[in-house]
Amino acid sequence: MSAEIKSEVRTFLDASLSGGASAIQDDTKLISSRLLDSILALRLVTHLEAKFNIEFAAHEVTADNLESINRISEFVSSKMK
Amino acid sequence: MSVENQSHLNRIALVDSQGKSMTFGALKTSREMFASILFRFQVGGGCRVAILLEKSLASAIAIYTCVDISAAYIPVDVHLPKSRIDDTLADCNPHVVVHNQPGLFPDNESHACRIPGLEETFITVLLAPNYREVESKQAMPNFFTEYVSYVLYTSGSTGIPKGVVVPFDATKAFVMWASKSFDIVETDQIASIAPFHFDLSVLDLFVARYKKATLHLFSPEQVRNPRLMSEELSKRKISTIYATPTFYGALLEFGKIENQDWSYLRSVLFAGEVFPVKQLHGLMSIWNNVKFYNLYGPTETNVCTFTEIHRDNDRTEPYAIGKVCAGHEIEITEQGELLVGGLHVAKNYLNRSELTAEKFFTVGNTRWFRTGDKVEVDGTGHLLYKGRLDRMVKRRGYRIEPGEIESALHKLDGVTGAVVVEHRESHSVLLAAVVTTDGSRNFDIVQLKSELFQVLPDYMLPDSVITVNEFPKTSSGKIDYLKVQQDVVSSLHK
Repeated sequence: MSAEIKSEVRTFLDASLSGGASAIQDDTKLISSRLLDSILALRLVTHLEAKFNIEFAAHEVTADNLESINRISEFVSSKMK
Repeated sequence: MSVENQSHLNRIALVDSQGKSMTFGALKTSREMFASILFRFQVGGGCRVAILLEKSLASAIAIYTCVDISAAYIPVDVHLPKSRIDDTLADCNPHVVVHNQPGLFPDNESHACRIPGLEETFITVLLAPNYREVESKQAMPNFFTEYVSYVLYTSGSTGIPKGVVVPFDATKAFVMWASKSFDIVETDQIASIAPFHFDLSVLDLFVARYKKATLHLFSPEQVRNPRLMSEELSKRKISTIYATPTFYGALLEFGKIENQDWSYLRSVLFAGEVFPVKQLHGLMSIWNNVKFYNLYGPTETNVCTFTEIHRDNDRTEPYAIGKVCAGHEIEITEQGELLVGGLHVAKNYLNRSELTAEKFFTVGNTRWFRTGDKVEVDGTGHLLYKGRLDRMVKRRGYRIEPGEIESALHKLDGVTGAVVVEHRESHSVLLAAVVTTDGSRNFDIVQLKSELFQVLPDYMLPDSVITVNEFPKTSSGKIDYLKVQQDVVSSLHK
């Protein structure tokens, strides 16, 4: 499952960062480095919710849960259980 | 002097992001005690006080106290890169810096003190008259000769931010005007969305205080999370909000606001950038019992035109920025530039006499400012915003001089030339960095952002980078910015 989530996030990042996502590793910091601005981060949340049929509670839309591809994958997986 | 009505002292003045509150009585005590601490360090009327604190009860108290003692407050964003904080402090050369990071200025005399009423908060007051030898020190008076309420820093085209000096009389006139125009009363619950270094906060802070309404402070982390904000604004029974269209747009798109109770909300004020009509109408459909106001004015004039928005379903063009505020006059030049004179207009740029002379002028006793914004008058006498005369970009309500980003790009290894242009993607303003290089390295956006984030605030970071061999030129040999922009759009949509 985690591979599928990661690949989904990558596809999103590739489309959002004008093809720049190839330089992003699974542990690259996305939020604290400002690679993703707040609007892009929210689009990603909405996208993941629709794709994996989950819902982020208000307090879960945090920099911590979205900080890297690894973190996103862990969080989304935990929501799907 | 009439005896001040004391009835408000038991009511709530401030509520912080976590819900911790403070009454007007406690706030008064805190202000008086903090004023006495500042006096102990010879800080009084005409002094400059830099405030390097997170948005909090403590920073609000520090700001209110500065105004109480006629010192100028200079809010500095703690989230800025260190080099930019240093540059700002060197430019404004404050008498003290109020901060909460012990050891931040190891070479200066530092004193720990407590702002009363905030038991867990320790504030260090730092004596900083020799913070750095400023080249223009001789030219700059040690004290402001007339009372200045604040200095706000905004993007500068030469690569260095510039401080807008706003006199006390301008702030006072603005607060009186806003309190009356938006009918603020003591039962109002006002949301403070903007950070204190952003001029929208002036209305929040001082209108709430003047009308003895309750001010709710929201942290940047909360403001970035529309779902949370939607819940909080509703739960706290907020009645008045003043924010950027970017904030409201995110609330509409991601906040699930249709799930909340908005029966307490009565006024929605926006400023700082153009509100896309579709989004505005979307918001009006959900907040259908609320008055919407468009406010316009750069930091140098604060709000100088405004209008209540009356919904017109056929409208596709942005709504008017309104009519001139009472106490103001306008002129529109042949090029369409809006000039504004009147009570809310600032005095000058700190330490920038040439730029001040270029942008500000006085007619009789009235201060005037050349906005650089192009406007037209519509059939009903309302002003329509028509863009900029220069290259300035508005993004998330922030002013960005592309020259400032270009200047940062020029300092990167391998860059031989740089042009930054804006382009739009649905409702978002995006920045593209177009660079020429010496061929020694490749630029990808991930690497570029991480390098620029060392020196620039996050809202100035480009969204894409394109390497070119040379920039298109106009017939007179200057860079053709319009052509660069067209090339960017076609290259990104290939």
